[in-house]
Amino acid sequence: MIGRHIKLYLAMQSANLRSHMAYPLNFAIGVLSITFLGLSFILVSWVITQKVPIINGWSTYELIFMTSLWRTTHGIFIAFFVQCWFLDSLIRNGEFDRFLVRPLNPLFSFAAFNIQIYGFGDMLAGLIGLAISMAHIPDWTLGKIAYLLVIVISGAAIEWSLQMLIGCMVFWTLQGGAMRHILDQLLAQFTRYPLSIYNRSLQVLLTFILPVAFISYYPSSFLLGNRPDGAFSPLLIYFTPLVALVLVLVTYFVWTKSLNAYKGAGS
Amino acid sequence: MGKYAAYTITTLKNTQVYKFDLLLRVVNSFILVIAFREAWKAIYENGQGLVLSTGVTSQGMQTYAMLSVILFALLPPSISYEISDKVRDGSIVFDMQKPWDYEWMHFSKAVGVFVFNLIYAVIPQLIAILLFFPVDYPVGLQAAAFAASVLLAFLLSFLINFIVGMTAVLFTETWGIDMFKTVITDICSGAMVPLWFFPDAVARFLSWLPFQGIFNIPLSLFIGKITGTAVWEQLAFQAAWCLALLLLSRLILAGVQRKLVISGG
Repeated sequence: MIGRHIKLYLAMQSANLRSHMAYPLNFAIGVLSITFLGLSFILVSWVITQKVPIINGWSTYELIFMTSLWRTTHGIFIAFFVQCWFLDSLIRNGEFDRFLVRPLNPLFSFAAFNIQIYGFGDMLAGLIGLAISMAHIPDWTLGKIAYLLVIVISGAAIEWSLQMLIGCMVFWTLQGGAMRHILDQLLAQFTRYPLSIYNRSLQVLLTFILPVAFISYYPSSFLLGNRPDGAFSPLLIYFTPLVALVLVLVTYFVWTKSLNAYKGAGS
Repeated sequence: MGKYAAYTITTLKNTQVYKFDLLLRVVNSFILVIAFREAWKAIYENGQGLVLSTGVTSQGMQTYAMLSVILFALLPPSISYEISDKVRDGSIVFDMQKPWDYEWMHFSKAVGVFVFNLIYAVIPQLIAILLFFPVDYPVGLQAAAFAASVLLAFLLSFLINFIVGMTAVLFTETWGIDMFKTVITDICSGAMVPLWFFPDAVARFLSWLPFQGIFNIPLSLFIGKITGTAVWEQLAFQAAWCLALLLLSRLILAGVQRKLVISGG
């Protein structure tokens, strides 16, 4: 059962990949540009820390580690799940119905609908950043690296959940593309500096309402041994996998409810 | 001239349809304003002698960062996607055959978006910023120079967008090139980090490129980093690059039109 789904997923995604390669020059420039975009954020952190070596206890390479961690998880999200961004236009054009009539779980069908190669540019930039910063940070053990892998997957799951939850708003309101831009900005801006530099209301927002801080700030605090000053509880640094799990379950629940609402409205 | 003005007004009216979208954009940029301001405040609190080495106070830098978000909303949107769509379905030929100048047509449209953003997004945000945060704003001649500099920044940004957009005619798909333009502009213009934060040699190099005319010059004028005769030099710098890019864009447009006539038969 699971084997059949994996086979099917790979077949669908490789078909998608081929269709994306129709313009090879643009494809190459696109992936390069996205890698470059990701590296530019790392470059910015580097430029700033040349003048200010330590920002709230975080050094150059620790900041680069933190921002690269998000780039990597973001790349995974973009590559495999970017279609959540287009839920509104899919529904408006009537293309969404195809996921409902297939003899497959609609979420599976939706997940296999698209692969976005530009995501690999983000992943590449993130991995370069992680490699550079980890080379300059001592005390890496196999256990920590294994946990890093868990963190990367959890981070991608958190971003997927947040994007899907906002995407699902379209089932009720038939618009909602604009909310996405706010989430995108939150993710891009607030994964770059330690949470402790922001005021209390932003810290509450980013920890408890849109838990963006669990993608890069809290796990980096744990992996790099930086005390999260200004955080709510010292335990939060361990919570990333749990937050990811809870969010994914909530998202699946909301998605199922949304589909019922959609079917009701459509017939 | 009338037809271009009419096009500007039509764009302005069309853009007004998306009210909810606009509201969210304002919320979005206000979050960014706060994020940028707090980040730079923290950077200045952690930096030793930063005020002396950069010549800009913490408050000056916070103002720079907040206004960069606002200025971003004023710049013309990218036109590559639109042009590449029209190249794919062939309708670009009709656009170019219409009795108007193709570049002026795009410019009139950009002006419509500019006016819309100024009225509905930028002015309310500026008022909010002045109410909530301490900001030293320029007066008199310096304020006039800032306003002129913003207009030149708009023009510079439009010309760069137009030149990049025209490459769609050659490559059809321009997503990658447009992305590349965005990254270069973000880094080299001072949108993310002001030029004086870069290592000296890099800053000197960047100061010769047109990009710094988009963010670094107008925002430096606003916070009073540029004063006296340097004001005229910097405005002249922006104007000179506008002229050079305008000439370049005309050459490219002429080339593209010739190519389309040949392949169109």
